[in-house]
Amino acid sequence: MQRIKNYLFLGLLISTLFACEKKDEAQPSIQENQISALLASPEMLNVNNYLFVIDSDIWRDFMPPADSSGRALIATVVISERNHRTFNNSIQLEKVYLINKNELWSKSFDSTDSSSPYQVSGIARNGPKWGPNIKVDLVCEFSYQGERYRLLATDQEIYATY
Amino acid sequence: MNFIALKNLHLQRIWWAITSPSLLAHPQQTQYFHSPAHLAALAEILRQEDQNPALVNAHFENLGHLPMGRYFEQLLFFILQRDPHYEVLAENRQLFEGKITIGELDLILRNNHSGKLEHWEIALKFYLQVKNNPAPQHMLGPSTQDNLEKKLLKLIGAQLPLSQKDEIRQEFPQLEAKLFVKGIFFYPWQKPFCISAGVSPTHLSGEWLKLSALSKLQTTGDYWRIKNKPAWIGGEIYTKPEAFLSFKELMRDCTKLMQETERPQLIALYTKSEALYTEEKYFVIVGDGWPKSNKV
Repeated sequence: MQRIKNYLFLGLLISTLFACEKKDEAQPSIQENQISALLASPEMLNVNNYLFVIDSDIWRDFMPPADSSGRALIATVVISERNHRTFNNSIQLEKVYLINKNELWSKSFDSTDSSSPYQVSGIARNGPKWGPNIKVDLVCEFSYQGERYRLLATDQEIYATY
Repeated sequence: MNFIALKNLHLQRIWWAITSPSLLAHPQQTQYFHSPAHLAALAEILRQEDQNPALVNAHFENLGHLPMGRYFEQLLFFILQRDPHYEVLAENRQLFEGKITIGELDLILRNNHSGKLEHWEIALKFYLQVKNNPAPQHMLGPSTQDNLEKKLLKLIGAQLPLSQKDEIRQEFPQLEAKLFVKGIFFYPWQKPFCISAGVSPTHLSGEWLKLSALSKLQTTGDYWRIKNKPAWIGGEIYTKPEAFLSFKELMRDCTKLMQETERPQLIALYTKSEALYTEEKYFVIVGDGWPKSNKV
């Protein structure tokens, strides 16, 4: 009887462990969910017939006096109206997300420039020391006329200066 | 984004060199920037250099005095070394046949955006149109010794093909030859003119007039500077009105200079926007006998 109880206990334990493992597989982490949601962002947005497109430039500086591990990544992001239609500086760049496989880095823009009538650009400094010469995905979050939007730029190379 | 308020003069000139429009419409004319974000990245790189100008100042002090064209090349080399989209492989690469130098390639670089190897020929030119005729020989250099036709023949006929030489092809296979030609073309003040063949319709332009007509510019503006080389390279920004000549002072100094040197003078009119004075218009003042008798 004791042996049967032991088998039952062992069976229950194994099934519980498998159940736990299954639960882990079925429910990705918050970060995985966030990455999936970010990667689902469009690459072009049509808002009231304004076509917004994204362009980015990412690099790291290894030139002396930077040490051999290089300086932290810098990203510039430009959101443009594709047909150069004026949007009266009404876009506010909010946040940049960089996705490197399962790693996610995000930051509010350090500075933005909206001097162009159809373009707004932003800079995010002190990023992760990823790469260089790898490709990452970049998402820019911005607000326009009270609404929040995101645009995705895929396969953006991290360049370097030596 | 086409304006950034840099304090350092070398960096101001670098920004002008890379953002001013190309002079030529030739198919091999290179576009420095790949995208708006590349432009924004360069602005950020120059702003960082501007915060610690000791490095850029030391760099150009170490080079010593250079003729304006060589200095212009060095401005470009300085920023290309810091631009993550380019990798400089050779500067002023000489070509030899035996012990004789047969030519020099200004720049060989890797374009990291396209992955291609490129040969750039760099030129900074200031020509004045003397006849309302699109033939490029009517665009004269201030010295009158040089003209656009000669320059095009040299650049396209002799300089660009240097990358096809065996010695270069062996070391840098599949090198694409490109032109990086900047500067200003000047047209006769308040007279009809035409754009020369091969010139970009969006090139940077100014006007030229004779010294005896200079007084007629009086109503144009209040902030003037006579530009001594290498300040012919544009992009200077000033923060104080003391940096400028009044029109009366301009007339006086320009007349004196031209009597002493007989050389054409490049003058610039500045405009004030917020707290900064930036270049608005360019003029070349020539002697009344120009182009027949001239010195540079």
